[in-house]
Amino acid sequence: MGHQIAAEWIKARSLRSTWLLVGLAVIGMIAQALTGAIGYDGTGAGRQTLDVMSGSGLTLVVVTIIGVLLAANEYGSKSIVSTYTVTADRRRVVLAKAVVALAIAAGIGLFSVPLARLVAVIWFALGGGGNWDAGFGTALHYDYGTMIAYAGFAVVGVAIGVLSRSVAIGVGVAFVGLFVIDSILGSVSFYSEYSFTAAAEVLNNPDVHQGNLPRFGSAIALMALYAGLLTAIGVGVERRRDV
Amino acid sequence: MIQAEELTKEYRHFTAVKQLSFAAEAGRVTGFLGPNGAGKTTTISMILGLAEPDGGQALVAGKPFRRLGNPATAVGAVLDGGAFHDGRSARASLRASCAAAGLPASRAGEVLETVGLSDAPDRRVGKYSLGMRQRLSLAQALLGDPQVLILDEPANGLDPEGIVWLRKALRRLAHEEGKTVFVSSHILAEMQATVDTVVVIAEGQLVSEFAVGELAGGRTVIARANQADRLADAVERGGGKAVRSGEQLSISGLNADRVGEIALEAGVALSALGIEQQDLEQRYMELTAGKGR
Repeated sequence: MGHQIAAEWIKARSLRSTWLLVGLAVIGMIAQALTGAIGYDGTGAGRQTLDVMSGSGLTLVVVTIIGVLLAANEYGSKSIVSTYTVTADRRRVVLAKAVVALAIAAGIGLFSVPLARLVAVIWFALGGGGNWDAGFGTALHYDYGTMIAYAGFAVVGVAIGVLSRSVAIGVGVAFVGLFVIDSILGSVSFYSEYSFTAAAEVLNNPDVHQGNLPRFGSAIALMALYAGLLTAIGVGVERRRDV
Repeated sequence: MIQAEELTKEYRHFTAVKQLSFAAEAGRVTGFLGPNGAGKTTTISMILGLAEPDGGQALVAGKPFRRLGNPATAVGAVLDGGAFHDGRSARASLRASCAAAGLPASRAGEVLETVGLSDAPDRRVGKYSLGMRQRLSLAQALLGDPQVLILDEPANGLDPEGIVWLRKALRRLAHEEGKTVFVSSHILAEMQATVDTVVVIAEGQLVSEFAVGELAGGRTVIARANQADRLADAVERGGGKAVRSGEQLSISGLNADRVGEIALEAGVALSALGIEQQDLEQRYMELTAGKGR
């Protein structure tokens, strides 16, 4: 499995599109932090700080696309033929792609709070209103919440990419499925506690809890469940399909 | 060695491959021929585990492909004119395969040198010509120094120098290194110069399997004479078979020297005597006439 992960990492890092999307993901995080800082209404610097630190919706979209690309790109270019003639076990290939997507997305998430702090420092230095009001524990909470949310979406992106075998279809399905349909269903009272996007919302904003959303621990479990389930479906289907 | 045993593949509306059995032996170059839609690519896909057979099995080195522990060290494949991502460099593409197969990264440089691409290893594959992509495919196939090589239309896009290089490389790999080389191509003259054995399929079924050396035995003697009827009778009495077309006879079963002697004994003056040797193209056309899909 280690060999396959190394192979998938070489493939990911050797494409410009991966780095362009990582750059876009960082821009998403900066935009989120700036929006949080600018939105300060003069009262409660604590809320402003939480808004600055919260995970970015744009970055969630971008890491999902990274996952889709890591998987579906191989079918578009037919390089999947080379992959499967070197590695006969397709389960290993799909899982290795998921691990690499998870690592890239979690790596991006790791810098979420430090980047937010940097944006806030610059904002305050330039005379922007408000002040930083969060301890290390809160910052850590936000950081790993964001890492898990990004990682979960990237893994789901890989599963969608494997199932769709097309970058365009995969990105379309991911966007409509995750960011439109799931969000709409999330507004239904029963489903709101189990919605994938609701889980991401909680992980991105762990200290801003709303009654109709899952708890932080439940959000982590839901994220793992959905990502694991979709990956298992992807592996199962891919093992039986012809190339 | 590659063995196809009653290999069958069915799609919704047609049977692409039907109970196909053949073998490609080690130490020989085996050609795989057939008209478009004959089922060649489907067969190769099944051998390589890319498509699941609906019946029968394909074995590489005695095992189905998907049960090979480390396929890159058992079988190398050249498919689809190079299955590489255009945005990745040749070196990165091969290094990814090296990593997956547990081979040292330095092996990528070695095979690039073997196929004559060592001067452009960091160029993106999208900037490669078709011929360069074919060479890169061969480099990928050679990575694990496998005992079996499967090549689908490997000469596509190669310049004449590249085709000669490929022919020599394939024959060397089979005859000197004892590898099983299984190659499909539509360039019949090149196939005749490269392969030792030919497997011909049409409409998903085996049509013929023969050694290229047998073609030399299929020679026809051509004789022209004013008294063609008299010569034909003499040839038949001499144990040959003659087909007359005007003053010309196409004679099988006898060599040219014997036909000359028979003509002399029968008192028939010959205006021409020669040999028409059947080549792979003629044999292929006879075998597959009217069988394209």
